Amino acid sequence: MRTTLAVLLALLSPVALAHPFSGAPGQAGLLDLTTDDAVNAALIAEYSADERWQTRLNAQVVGALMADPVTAQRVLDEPVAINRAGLPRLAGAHFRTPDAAPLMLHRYFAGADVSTRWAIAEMLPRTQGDWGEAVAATWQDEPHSGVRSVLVEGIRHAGPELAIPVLRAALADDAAEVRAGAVRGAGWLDEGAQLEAELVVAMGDSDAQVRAFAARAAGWKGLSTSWNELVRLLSDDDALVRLNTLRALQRIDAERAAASPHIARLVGDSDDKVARAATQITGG
Amino acid sequence: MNHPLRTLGVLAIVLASCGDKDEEEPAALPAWDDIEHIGVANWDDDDANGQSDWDDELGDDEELGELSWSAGEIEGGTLTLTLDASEDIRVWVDGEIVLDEETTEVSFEDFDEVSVGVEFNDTLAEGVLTVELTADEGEVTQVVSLISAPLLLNHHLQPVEMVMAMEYSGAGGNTDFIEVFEDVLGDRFEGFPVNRYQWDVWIQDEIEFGTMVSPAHTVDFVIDSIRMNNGGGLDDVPEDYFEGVDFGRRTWGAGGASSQDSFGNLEVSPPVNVDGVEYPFGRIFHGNWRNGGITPKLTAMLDNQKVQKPFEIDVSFLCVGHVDEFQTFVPDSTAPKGFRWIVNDVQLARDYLEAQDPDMTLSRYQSGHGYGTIGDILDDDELWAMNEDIQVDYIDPVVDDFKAELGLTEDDIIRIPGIVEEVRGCGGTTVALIPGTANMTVVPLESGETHLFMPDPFLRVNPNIASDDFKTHIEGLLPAELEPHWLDDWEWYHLALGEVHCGSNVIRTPIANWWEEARHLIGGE
Repeated sequence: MRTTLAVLLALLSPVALAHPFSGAPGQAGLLDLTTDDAVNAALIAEYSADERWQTRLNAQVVGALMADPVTAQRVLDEPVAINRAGLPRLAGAHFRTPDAAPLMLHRYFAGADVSTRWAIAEMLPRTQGDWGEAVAATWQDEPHSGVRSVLVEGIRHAGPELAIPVLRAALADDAAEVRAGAVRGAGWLDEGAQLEAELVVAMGDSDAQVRAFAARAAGWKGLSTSWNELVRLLSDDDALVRLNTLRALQRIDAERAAASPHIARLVGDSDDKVARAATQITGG
Repeated sequence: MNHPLRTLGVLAIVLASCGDKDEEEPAALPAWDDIEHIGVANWDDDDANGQSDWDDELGDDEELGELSWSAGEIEGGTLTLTLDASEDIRVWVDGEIVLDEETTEVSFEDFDEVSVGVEFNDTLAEGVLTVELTADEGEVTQVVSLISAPLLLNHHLQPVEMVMAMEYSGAGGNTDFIEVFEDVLGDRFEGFPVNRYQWDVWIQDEIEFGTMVSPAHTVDFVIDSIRMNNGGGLDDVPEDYFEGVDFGRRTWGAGGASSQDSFGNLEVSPPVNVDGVEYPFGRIFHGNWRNGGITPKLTAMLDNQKVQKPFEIDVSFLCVGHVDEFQTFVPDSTAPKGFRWIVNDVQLARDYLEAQDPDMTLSRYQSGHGYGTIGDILDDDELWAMNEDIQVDYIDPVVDDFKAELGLTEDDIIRIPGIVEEVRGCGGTTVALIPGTANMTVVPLESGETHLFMPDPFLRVNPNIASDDFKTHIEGLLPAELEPHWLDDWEWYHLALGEVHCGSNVIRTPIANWWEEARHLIGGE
């Protein structure tokens, strides 16, 4: 909501009202600018590089529509399909271009349904376009936790400066689904070790998925200072948590893991995968 | 579709009297040996009214296996039939049901000849029909053991009669994908209009083909998945294209389906011998995803068929979670068992990629997966960490499962390069990064050649597949007798979390003389 308020305040400022791209993202009237004689390539180019993401987004949307109206309209209109896992999907190479990013964001902010927002959130990182700042500024306004999670998981592709603050905030999200997306995102981010403190907290999360992927991230990032917290997770009720923790400890220090009595105890674990991994790590 | 068993016609058991009639000797009673009658469940839909013929009570149905008795020289005798069976068997005479679960005995006075039709409403339904002839000359009794065929699913060594896929030839369509099938298979391939089915391309997932075979009759069968309900997606394809005369259709289970209820998650091995037990029609296997599998009603039905004793493997590392995503079986006449099992291997993928030019640009992979070059893939430490863990924690145990459940040895296995990536929004699970070669459609033909339809890996700079070294590398790993064909499945399938096998399906020629080959698996001799 803070973001929405900021957008509204910006809209009311004299500066914001001084150019045609100053409206809120997703505004219906924006598309009419394609027939406005005052809007030309130079103006679009100027505002497509604006420091405010809202302005850039609006200018890029108009620019994309004027440059290739047929393709742009397809990006704006084509319905969502589902993939083999039953998840929403936008199909076609025209969605995976830099020009598609502002168009999909426009569609997102214009009141798309949940499936479409999900598919857009999933697709944005594939575009290599200018989408990161918009997502970083607005992801918390997304009401659907599943869509929020997908936005958070993909933010690493926008670079660490945008991703780290988003992931830090997402690790404290009310929805476990979002926190799980955030720990996965932290794991995949090269600079994810900067979130070590938050990952350690996540190891004590009430949700097993969060704990499991926090452990995985700690292993991938080689967070040796989290060794004791990881050892505690070896007693977790959830088998995936125990499995990911075993692999994390092995990855952080294979020799120490091989000699660990805590790991040796898991050779007799009730879960086949955990027992197998413990046996392999300890050479038992 | 032209299996020899189908040309035999209706089974008729005519048991005539023995010996010559002699005026001075009493008439001889017929010599009736105890016999077995094998039928098929009457689950096809001859009258195309949308329900199985058992429910329609069609008295002249081809699935009613015929039994006949003749009095021979005996005159004035009484023939009594007694049925001891479940509600799934009934007996017809002249278009009327004379024996069922409620009426268990019927007699024919002044018996001369009687023909009955035996009808089944289940697979492996068993019962006993006792036939007793009483006459002045004495009595004779015959015991007819009744049994219906199991529903057998097809495996990859069976010759192919028809391959199908969903097709759209308009702008943005999948013509490249379809044309390869058409060019290779000609009339054996059929494309169905995907625009009539809500653009659902996953025909592997919607239907599973099998057969019910008796010595006299074969019924093709399609199991209709619960993945689509209420006419959505491909839900109506089985009714629109297959259900009819000698082609049954049925759904097991109801309600909310999981991805594991799709039939890319239901496969069959070739024939195997496991610790001395022959499985002449292979064994069914399906995937379990985090303690959830295919719907219990379907599991129970498959278990009850006995002949292809099912087992389960863990597919929890996959987003879609189907067994066809990382392994398959292919024929190989040079192999110890006549086939090879193909399975993904992470280290082989790494070895292969490390041998390539790291600067090789991969245009499809940049927008599809976020990797612009071979080097980008190799430099992603997290990607390899995840894949290495999946290999040791998931794929290696599956290899052990296949060795234990199917009696496979290392000689039976071909490992091929394969790696996965994590899918956003799918709980930390994965799907093929390089299009999954194992996710292929295996098409042996009666002529002896076997065609493999596999996803184009696009691991190259040049658009021309001839320049793709990965393709060449894979072909070098496959048995030489197989003919690989590479299909562009990137946009419609690969990026939608499936590959060629997921987007096609196959009807195969039945080879299911189970009453001779698989008695030991169903408790008979």
